[in-house]
Amino acid sequence: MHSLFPFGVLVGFGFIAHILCSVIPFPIPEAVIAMLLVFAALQTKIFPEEKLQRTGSFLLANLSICFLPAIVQLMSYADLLKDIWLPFLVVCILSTVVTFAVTAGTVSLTLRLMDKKGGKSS
Amino acid sequence: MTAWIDSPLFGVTLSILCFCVGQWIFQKTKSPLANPLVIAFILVVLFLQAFDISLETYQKGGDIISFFLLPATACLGLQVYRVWPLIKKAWLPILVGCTVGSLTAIGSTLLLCRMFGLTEAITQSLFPKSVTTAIAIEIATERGGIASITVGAVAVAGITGAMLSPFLVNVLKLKNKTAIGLAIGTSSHALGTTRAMEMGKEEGAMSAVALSASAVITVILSMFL
Repeated sequence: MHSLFPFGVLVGFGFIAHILCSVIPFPIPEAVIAMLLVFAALQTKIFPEEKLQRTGSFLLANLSICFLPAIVQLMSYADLLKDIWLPFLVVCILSTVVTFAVTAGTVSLTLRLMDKKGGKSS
Repeated sequence: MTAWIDSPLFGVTLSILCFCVGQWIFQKTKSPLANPLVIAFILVVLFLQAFDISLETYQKGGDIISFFLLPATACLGLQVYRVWPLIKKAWLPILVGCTVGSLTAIGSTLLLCRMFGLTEAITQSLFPKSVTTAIAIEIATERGGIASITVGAVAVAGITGAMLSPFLVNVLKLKNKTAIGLAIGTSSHALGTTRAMEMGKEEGAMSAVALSASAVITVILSMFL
């Protein structure tokens, strides 16, 4: 049988993350803490990967629907954005594209430099 | 009719059906522009407008869908675990890439906002747009931004990453999976990461690592900038 247990564990980690989030004096997203907890549980074999496999793959495959209500909620800000929607969109899109390109470039360059260094020493 | 749709079941059903239509269209066309989330968004909004249903009524079900965001994002830990040896080897590019990327996200946003003459409140609302919503709101309000505008900006950044990253990979001729994953996660948080996961295991995991690292880095940077 496909047990409910892994889902319970995930929700439980979410709950622990929620508590930790309010205790830690530094703003770290709940989701990042929950992700770290899941990772730590897998790494220490407290929670074996096979047990999480099915539930995990299912949730990950459908993750993006969880953003739908938040995006629909945008409709209620239509008034706020009425006069600036075009520059607003241009800034968000352009900056995202630039960030993508610069990050990819930086990582590629770092990897190449590491390769060179590694190549020389060997 | 009003009494019927007043149940959370309405919002949940509408969301799932619209999302499934989106997934179906995406599978038929295979075009990244046919993003399931964007299609679902358009369908839900059209439906609500057509039948004159309030957002509050929809959100009764929407809240239930949103609830799953935390356990679902927690699963990204599984993704990271699956390629952990690769990540361990690449800690330096991850750190350098996410730091430079987060700086670029903030710098380019500030610069573009000034160029378009947007007000200070709007500029500060857009400041943290590349990180995940909860943390972005915290940073923005701290700086005198408007939370609801931040939510919008975060969504646009995420959708941009999800829709455009395959094109950017082609245009920039990127081959390295580490670079692709880190670029997606740094520029467009969890929403972009959903797209990275479709590209491959490694891209998805790198993107998950990048979204975590850049959230923390952006929080630190926002204290000094």
